[in-house]
Amino acid sequence: MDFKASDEQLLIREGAARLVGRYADRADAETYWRALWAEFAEAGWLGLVAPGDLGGLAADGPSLNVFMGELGRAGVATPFVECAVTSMDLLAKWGTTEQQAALIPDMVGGRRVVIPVLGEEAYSAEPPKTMPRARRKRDGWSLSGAASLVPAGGWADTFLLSAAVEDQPMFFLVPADADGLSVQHAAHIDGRTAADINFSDLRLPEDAALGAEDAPTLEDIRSAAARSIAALCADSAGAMSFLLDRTVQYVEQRQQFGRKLSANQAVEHRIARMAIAVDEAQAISLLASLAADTPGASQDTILSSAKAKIGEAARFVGQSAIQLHGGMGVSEALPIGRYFKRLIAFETAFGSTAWHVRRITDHIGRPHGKGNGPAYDASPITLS
Amino acid sequence: MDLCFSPQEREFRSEVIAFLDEKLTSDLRRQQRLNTSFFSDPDLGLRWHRILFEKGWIAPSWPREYGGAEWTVAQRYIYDIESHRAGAPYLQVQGLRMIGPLIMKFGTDAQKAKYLPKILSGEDYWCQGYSEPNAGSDLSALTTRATPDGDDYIVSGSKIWTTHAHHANRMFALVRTADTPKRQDGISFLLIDMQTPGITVRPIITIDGEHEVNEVFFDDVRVPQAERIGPENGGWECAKYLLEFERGGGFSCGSLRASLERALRLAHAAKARGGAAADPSIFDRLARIRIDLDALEMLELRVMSGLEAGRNPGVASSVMKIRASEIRQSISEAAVDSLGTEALRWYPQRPLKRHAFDTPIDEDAAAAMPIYLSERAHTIFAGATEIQLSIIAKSIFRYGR
Repeated sequence: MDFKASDEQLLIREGAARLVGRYADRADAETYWRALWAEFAEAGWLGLVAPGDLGGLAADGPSLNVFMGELGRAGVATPFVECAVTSMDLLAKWGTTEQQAALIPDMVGGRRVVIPVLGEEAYSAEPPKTMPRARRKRDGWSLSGAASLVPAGGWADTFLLSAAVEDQPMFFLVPADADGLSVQHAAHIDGRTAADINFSDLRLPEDAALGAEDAPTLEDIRSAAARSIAALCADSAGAMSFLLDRTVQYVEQRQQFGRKLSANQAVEHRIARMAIAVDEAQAISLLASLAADTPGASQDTILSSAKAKIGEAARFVGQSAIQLHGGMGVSEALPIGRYFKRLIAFETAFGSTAWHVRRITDHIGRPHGKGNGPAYDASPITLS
Repeated sequence: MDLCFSPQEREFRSEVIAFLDEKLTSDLRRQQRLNTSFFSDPDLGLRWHRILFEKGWIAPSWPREYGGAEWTVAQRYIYDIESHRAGAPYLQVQGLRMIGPLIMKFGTDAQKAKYLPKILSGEDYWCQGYSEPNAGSDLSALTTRATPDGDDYIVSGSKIWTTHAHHANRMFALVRTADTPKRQDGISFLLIDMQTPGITVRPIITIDGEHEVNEVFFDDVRVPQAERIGPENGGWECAKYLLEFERGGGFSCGSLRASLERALRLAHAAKARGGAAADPSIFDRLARIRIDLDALEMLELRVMSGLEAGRNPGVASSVMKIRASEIRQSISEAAVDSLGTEALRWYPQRPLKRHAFDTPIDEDAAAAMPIYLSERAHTIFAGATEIQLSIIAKSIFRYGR
């Protein structure tokens, strides 16, 4: 057990803060994101979690955590988690050597943005009634279906699309400009350009499929997404700490009734509750990032814990930031609303708060009691 | 950074488990199951204290030079989790976690030599003389006065809510030694022998049926000035330091995990029985508590690691105190709710272990309501939640985060 930040992690924090700091306070993501993306590539950040033998830095969870924390604080809108974490992890896990060699160096170099289109089935209490389907053809595959509001989908060069073969999910590499694929850009409250995509009998070559040999189960997909969830948790904790800092500044400076807002105990206590929520979010996001590096029995429950805790904390901190800013909190003139919307978007990614709470509920709602562990699982967070 | 145990830590964990298996008798476990308070009665707490003292494990965080085990944070965490999971009795914290560390930091060599060994051995039993009838949350309004007289002070006044004053042979107390414009500047920190003539202890019975807290009256009580910690009128510094450690000096996640496990056991028993108390929503509540506990546990690990590196818990102690007390209350509330009307059956004798119960789950059930009532005090003592919130906010306004 060790909780000291390494020198490498401190360097990452510093470097990331310096870089994204120049883009903070900008609401025009559509105009700046490519420039920022090029700077990410230049600095090597796009390969932060990519395997070392494919030009990546193979950084560990806590390193990704500090990096994402700075992105969240600066509130910059990029497809980083989608491309450099989720797609990277899916490719690393199920891509063939050829697929990896063809894509990862371009992704790390910032030349290709690969956006995952994950079905909801891995994070739903009720499986969706319709999901994209793939059929094997003599010379390849035929895909039909749709996906709505794919986050950052408007910025994709390639989609990594999940579709069911019989009842088995598989991933397919689909160029964004493929014939038979309709990509409609859609505005998203997270500030990025999303996409509604439709395809009917979309023809793909044999080698467009990932993991044809070793098809993933829903559990596999969830575990491949572990690092993405941890990354989003860190991003949200960073955004929450920004909201807290701005709100503290505001209540210290704004005067009403002849005194600072902060001189009122009701305000003081709300600020303290926000600070507690931010502390908890940062602590559990770090926990999630450590768990993401450690496959095992407790990984699932820790990630659900973190996702649910931060989901609720994010609502509280976001809503409190608006409340304490009064009328200014609902004005577009301040960045408060922009951060709040980013946090709302977090709540629905990779399973809602309710879904993750339910996963814990199911976990503790059945007897355990193997070996000398607890009879019902209230076990500690330690990963052993 | 990592959360995995090293081979040495794993080995230590096995050693802890083996020790608990051997020393934690079924009688001790039973008594702890029926212990409705965070403060064990000496009959239970001191028995366990002496066993740990013999093993050399009584003061995990104390430096070796003072007779502590000087464990790493990971070792302390492992011990905390495993001992509570096994059902070990709660220890009296006033000596080990409060006055002990304070004497190490601010005491003279003579004071260290006189008191530290007896805290470790359990020979001295300490109580805390802080609150007064008119100085609760507003602690610096205290008026118990210590007037110099030769080499002594003459102490007059009264303290209230003094936990285990009726068991203690020593008290550490805040007393007024000067009337200064800023009230905090006229307070001194005294160590008082409870056998000194002029001290009267009067019980207060709380809503859980326990005699745990007291009023203590001082009628011209003579206390040597040599028993003062720190300079005269310098007591507030000591008080604040001690409160930081009281609020955040140790892990609470181990005992919270054990309480949650107990509440889960009660909820599963209710589910098996069926009926009005067996509402499935109880598992949702317990799941949310588990989530809160994961966050708190990680927070504690981070703060304790910082302490190891030589820092005070600072304002983090207020954050942990608020969350630990709230989580603790939510667990006992869920435990009571999962019992339905059976939670209302009242067993009047105290300690509760005087009653005979058939099974451990009956014991858990009988203890649930008194524990719930007893834990109402957790968001009040050591600085009420509202006070902690103001401390957190003022620290942010003053220093940023």
